[in-house]
Amino acid sequence: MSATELERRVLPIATERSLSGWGRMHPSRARVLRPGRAQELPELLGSQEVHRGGVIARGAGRSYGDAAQNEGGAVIDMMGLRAIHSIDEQRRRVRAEGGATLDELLRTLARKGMMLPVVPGTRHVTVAGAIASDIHGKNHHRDGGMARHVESLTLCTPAGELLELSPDSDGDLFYATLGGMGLTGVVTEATLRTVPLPPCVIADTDRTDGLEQTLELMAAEDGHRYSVAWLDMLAGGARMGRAIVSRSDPLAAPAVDGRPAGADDRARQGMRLRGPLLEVPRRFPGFVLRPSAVLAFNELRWRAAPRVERGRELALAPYFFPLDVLGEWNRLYGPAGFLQYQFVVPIGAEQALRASFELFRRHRLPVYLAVFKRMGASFGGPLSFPLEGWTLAVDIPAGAPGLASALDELDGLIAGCGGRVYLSKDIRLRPDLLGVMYPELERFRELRTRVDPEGVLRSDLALRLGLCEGSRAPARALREGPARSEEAGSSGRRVLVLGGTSEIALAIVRELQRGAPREVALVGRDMDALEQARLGLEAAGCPRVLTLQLDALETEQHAGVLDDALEQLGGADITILAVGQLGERGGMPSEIADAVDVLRVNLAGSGSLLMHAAKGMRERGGGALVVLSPSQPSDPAGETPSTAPRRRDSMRSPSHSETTCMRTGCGCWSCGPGSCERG
Amino acid sequence: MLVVRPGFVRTRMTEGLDPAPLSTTPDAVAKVVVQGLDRGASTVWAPPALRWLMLVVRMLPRSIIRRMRQ
Repeated sequence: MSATELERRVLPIATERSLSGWGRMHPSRARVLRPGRAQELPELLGSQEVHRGGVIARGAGRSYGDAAQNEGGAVIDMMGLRAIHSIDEQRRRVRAEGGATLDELLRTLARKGMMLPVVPGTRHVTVAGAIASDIHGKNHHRDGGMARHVESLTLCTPAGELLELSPDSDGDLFYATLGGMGLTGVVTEATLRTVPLPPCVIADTDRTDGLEQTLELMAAEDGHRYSVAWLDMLAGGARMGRAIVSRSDPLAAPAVDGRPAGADDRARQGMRLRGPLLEVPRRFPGFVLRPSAVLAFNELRWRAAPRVERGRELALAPYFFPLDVLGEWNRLYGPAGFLQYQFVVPIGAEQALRASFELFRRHRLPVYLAVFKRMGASFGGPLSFPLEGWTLAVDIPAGAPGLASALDELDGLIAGCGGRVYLSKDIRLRPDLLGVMYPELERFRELRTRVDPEGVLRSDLALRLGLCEGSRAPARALREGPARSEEAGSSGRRVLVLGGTSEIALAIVRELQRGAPREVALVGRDMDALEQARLGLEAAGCPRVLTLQLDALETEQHAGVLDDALEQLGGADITILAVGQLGERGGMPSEIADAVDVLRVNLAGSGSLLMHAAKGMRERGGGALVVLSPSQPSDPAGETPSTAPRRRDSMRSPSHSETTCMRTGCGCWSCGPGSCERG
Repeated sequence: MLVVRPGFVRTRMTEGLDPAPLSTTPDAVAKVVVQGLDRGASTVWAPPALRWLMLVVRMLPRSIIRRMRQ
C-alpha cells in the first residue's frame, strides 16, 4: 500500500463548501475536513491535503468576521471533537476537547454544581474558539477573560506535533495561543478552571441620563461582579451616552452538608436553557431592520426600562445568554449580513469614547445593539483583545450608507488613543493599523515563525491583515449604499435619462446642472423630440449630451441599448426613469385594445427598463435611481366603476415595478397616483 | 433608489385636463427630487403636502373610496 493510499484511508474526506462568519458577510470557499477523532489531527495537519492553500481550524462559526474561513485552502471542522473528558470536583477543573461547545460544557458542569468563570453572550461557541478569541463576559473587570482561566491546553502544531502547554511549559507559546486567532496551531484539548454555580444572580438596573453617570456607575470600586450597559447610540447633546446599566452579583448559596454551594435544583434549572424560543427563518428580509425601525425600537426599549430597580433575582441562562433566546438571529439582517464592530479604549481615553459616539451619530449609522462594558487588566497573548478600559460593541447592517468611511474614521480614532478593535469580530480593518492597535504584533510574528515556519496556518483574516505570508487577498470593500455626506445622491456627474423627452426628467437634469456640470445620455423613442431636448440641455450648460433611440415596447432591445448608453457615458451616477403614458383624459382608454397598449408601456416597458437599468448600474458600481414612471394610469376622471376596485388594490399592495425591482435585489418603488409623462 | 410621487403636474401631456388641487410644475418637482437625492430619501412627494393627503386617502376604507368616485 503506497503512502498516499494510506493517507486517503486515514484522513477524513474533504468537501468543498462556502463558509462565512456569523455576520454572513464575505463568504469564501474552502475544502472542509472534519476529523472524528483527536488522533487524526496530527496526521491531518502534516498532510499535503492541508498544506495546499494553508489551513485554519473552525469551531461553531460564531466569530462575526472572517477568522475561521480560508479561501482556496483547507478548513478543519472541529465540531467532531467535542468530548468532555473529566471533571475534577475537588480542584474545580474540567478538561474537554476543543470542539466541545460551552453549551454542552455548562450543562455538564451544572449537574456537578459548577460553571465556567467567564462566559460570552452566547453559549454556542466552542472551547477552542473561546480560547483563540480570548472571549470575555460581563465580569472582565473582576475576573478577566477566558485566557485567565485556562490552566493548560494541548496544541497541535502544523508539523503534526502535540504540545502540552501551560504557563510553566513553553509559556510564550501558551500565552500567544490565548487570543491567537488559531494562528499558532489547533487547540485539541484544554483544562479550564470552574467556579461554584450560583442559584441565580441579584441584579440592579439603572437608567442613566448621560455618559458621566454611566461611567460612574460602571467604574464604582465596590462594583458588582457582572456589569453591562445597553447604550442608546442615537441620543445626542447632554443625553449622549445615556444607558440602561445592569449590574449584578451571583447569589451566594450556603454549602449544605458539605455539598458544593449552589448545587441545588434551582441553579440547575436556571442554567438550563430550553432551545431557542423562536428561530429566524432562512430568508428573512433585511429591510425590517431599517433605520426608522431601529430608532423606534431604541426609543421603546429606553422607555420600557425601569429608572432604578434593586435586588431583582434573575435566572442565570437568560441573564448570561440573552441572544440565545432567538435562534439564528444573524438572519435578522437579511442576506446582505451585518458586521459587529467592537473596540476598547484605555481608561483615561473617555474623550475618545465621546468622539466615537459623535461619529456614530454624525454618520447616522443604524445601530441596533450597542453593548458597553468595563474591562479589567489584559492577560492573554500579543493578539488578545481585552485591555483595561471601556469596550463598546455595535451591530450594524452591512449595507448601511457610509459605513466603510465611518468605520475607517473610527479605526483612526481608536488607534490614536491606544485602543484596539476585536479581531474575532473584524472583517474590514486595514493592515497598517494592526501594529498600532496591537503593539506586541512583532513578538507574535516571531512566535509564529518558530511554530509555523512554512506559514501553513492561514485564514482570510490573517491574509487580509498580513498576519501570515502568502499572496494577500485584496481587502474587499464593504458593500454599502451611497454615502450620505460628500458622495451623496445628487453629486454624480453622469446622468442617464430613460424617457429622455419627459418634461419632469429634463427639469430634474436642469436642476442638477445648476449644482454642477453634468454629462447626460437621453434615451427615448422620438429622435426629433430628443434632439430638441438635447439642444435645451446644452443651452442650460450641460457639457455633453448624447441621444439614443429606444422604444419602451421593444423590451428585447432594452439590454443592448442600455449597455450602449452606459458604455458611451462611462457608467451612470444618476438614472432617471420617466417612461409611461396617460390614456385619454388621464384615465384608461375606453377601448380595451388601447388600454392594453397603455398598460404595455407603463408596466412591461417601464418595468423592463427599470430592471435593466438597476442591473447595469449595479455592475458598474451603483448610483442613484430616480423612478418617476407611473405604473398605473392616474387620474380617476375617466375611470369606470368596474376598474375601481383593482386600482385600489394596486395602491395598497406593492405595485408592479416595486415587486419586479425587489426581485432584482434593489429596493425601489414605483411612482404612484399622479404623474403623467411620456417617454 | 429614490421614488418620486408627484401629484398632478402641468405638462404637455396633461394639457386640456382640468388641473387637480395641489397641482404642480416640472421645475417644482425637479427641486424636490434633487433635495431628496441629497438627503438620501427613499420617497419624495411633489408637492410635499401630498404625502400626508395620500396617507389619509390610503387609510380610508374601500367602501368610502368607491362612493367618492361615483
